[in-house]
Amino acid sequence: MIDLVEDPDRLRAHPEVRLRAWEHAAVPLGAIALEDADLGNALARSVLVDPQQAREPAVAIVERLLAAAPVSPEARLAVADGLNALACLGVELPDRARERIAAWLPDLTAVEPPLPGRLRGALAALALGDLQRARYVAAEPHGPLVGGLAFPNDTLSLVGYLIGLVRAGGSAKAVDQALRSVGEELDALCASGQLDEATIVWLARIAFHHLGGAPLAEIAQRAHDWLWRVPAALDQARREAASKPPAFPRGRTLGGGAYRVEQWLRGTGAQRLYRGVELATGDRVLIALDDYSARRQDLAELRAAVSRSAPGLFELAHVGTIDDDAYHWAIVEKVPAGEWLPRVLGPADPSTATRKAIELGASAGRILRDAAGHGLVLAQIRPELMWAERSGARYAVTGLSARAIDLFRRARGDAFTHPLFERWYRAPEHDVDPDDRAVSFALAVMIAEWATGRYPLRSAFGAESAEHDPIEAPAALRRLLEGAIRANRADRPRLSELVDALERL
Amino acid sequence: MPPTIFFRVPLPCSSCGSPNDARAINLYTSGLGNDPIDTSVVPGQALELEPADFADAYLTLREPRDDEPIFTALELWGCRACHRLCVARLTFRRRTPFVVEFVGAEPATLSKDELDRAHYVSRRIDEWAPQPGDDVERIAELEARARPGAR
Repeated sequence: MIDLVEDPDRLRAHPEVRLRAWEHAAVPLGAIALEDADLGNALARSVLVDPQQAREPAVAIVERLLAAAPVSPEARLAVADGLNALACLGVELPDRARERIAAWLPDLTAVEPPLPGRLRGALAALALGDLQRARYVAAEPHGPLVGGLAFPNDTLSLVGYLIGLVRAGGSAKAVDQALRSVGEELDALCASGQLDEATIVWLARIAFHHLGGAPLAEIAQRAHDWLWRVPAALDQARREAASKPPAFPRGRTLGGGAYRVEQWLRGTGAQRLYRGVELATGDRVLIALDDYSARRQDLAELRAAVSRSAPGLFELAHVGTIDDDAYHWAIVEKVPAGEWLPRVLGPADPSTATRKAIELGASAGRILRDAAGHGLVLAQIRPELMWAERSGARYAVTGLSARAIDLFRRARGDAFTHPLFERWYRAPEHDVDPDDRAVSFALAVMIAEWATGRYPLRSAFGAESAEHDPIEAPAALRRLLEGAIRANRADRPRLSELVDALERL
Repeated sequence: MPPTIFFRVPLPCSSCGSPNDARAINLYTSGLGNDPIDTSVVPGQALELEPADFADAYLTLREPRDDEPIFTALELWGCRACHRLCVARLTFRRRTPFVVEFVGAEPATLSKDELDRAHYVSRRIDEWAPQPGDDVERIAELEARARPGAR
């Protein structure tokens, strides 16, 4: 088992920028104009910045909020946010405040634009025990609930995770990593419309009050401590990173010094993905890494198995062990322009997710179709093995490869190791003579997930099936995807037909 | 009467011209949604309604397409002054698969153009006495569909 690695990307985050901006903009409760169009965030900002401020002005604010008769979901959410912020400061709210928010829950899950408004609606529903309405907004994670996950650049998935934890009776410990990640990414999440002050207070309420058992009156202080401690923790991590050698295998080379491991991407067990660099050219590479035993595994056989290529596939750069290390082998591939797809993807914002999914699916499909034309059927293709780029509002997959699967399937380890992937996209017949219709299946599952934010299959590793949840996408896309996610491959479209249909959408 | 949604919008009577104010107007749809109690809505307000709820409460003229977030229902209402029936075009906007927004209501007719444009029409259409300009044949068809046991 490799030591846990540090992700150097997080060390580049500067949440203090956002915290300073909030400090600059915050005013005491008594100075907040109740006509403020952004009232919910103004109140939330005030209690986050100064959770020990005088509560007396809050009495009049509560009365004014309860006397208001907002009509639109957006106006109602602002009142709900404000009441929540005050409750988390320790202000006693009358029962009718809770009753009013409960009556508004359907509206709160339909706020526009959706992010972060609907996230707050989902969190409000969760806070009031209405898990069903919370699920309208954010899906629970697929499969058994695992604590300690983080959701970089995806607040929507984090909210789905919280719903699962509340349902299952999880503890605050389960969200430590996720909260740390949110704190570190604070500025980027706010800038991308996934987070704001009011959402932070709702998140803190679920994490510290519902999961952690802290009194509601202490939540503003807990939220303040959570966020305002992050910059110092990051500074400490930066100092440690500068004073210590990076954790294995970061900084190590492959191919006799030709390639260097730079950036952890995924995996906490034996199997991992890294980004690296070709030292002679500065070109970026994807490195798939696994444990290796020369006695039990055949390097030459792996080289032969992954040697074929096709247009659009990552260019194979190197297959071999880490330099001066005979216990780990790797596949190194040159990647095209863009970034690792999971970092480009972001949350499944209802207003943009369908188009994003179609664009990503069509561009990936073209590469997969061309590969199939060259005799390479990538039945096990998956999002973590794709590179993509975003240009304005447009998305495109720029390259992909499934060679890493060829490496990982040769694992001979006997010990338990954390799995690299929790979700599988492959068709039931993936290991028995798959043809391009198996690729249609995998591509359709990925597009469904990108379009809805929900992993659709009900299958598990080793027991793949085509059984799936309803795909809540626009009808034309839904019909297309459901036509491709069929158990019998004869019922699925050929890959070229699927790609053509995606392009027409 | 099953749970009813009252639409609080001021409309003038198409027969006598009397204004019917938002608080008193007799504009409602019965059996729309699953709320156990009657509801009053004003423009901009959201309602927890799915597409199937509209198909249950109204006669479907045509299903709203996926790319039609805005859809309309033609509902009958009685003037408080002259007690004659009028037609209102109720406009809704789909916000999520579970929530629609009541956008507003306007005076309407049951002309061919209006029926072609609308998505739903009142199940009380058999109470309507056709007026000049109405699509009489279509109204007769709809009345037949509205009868108990018909679909």
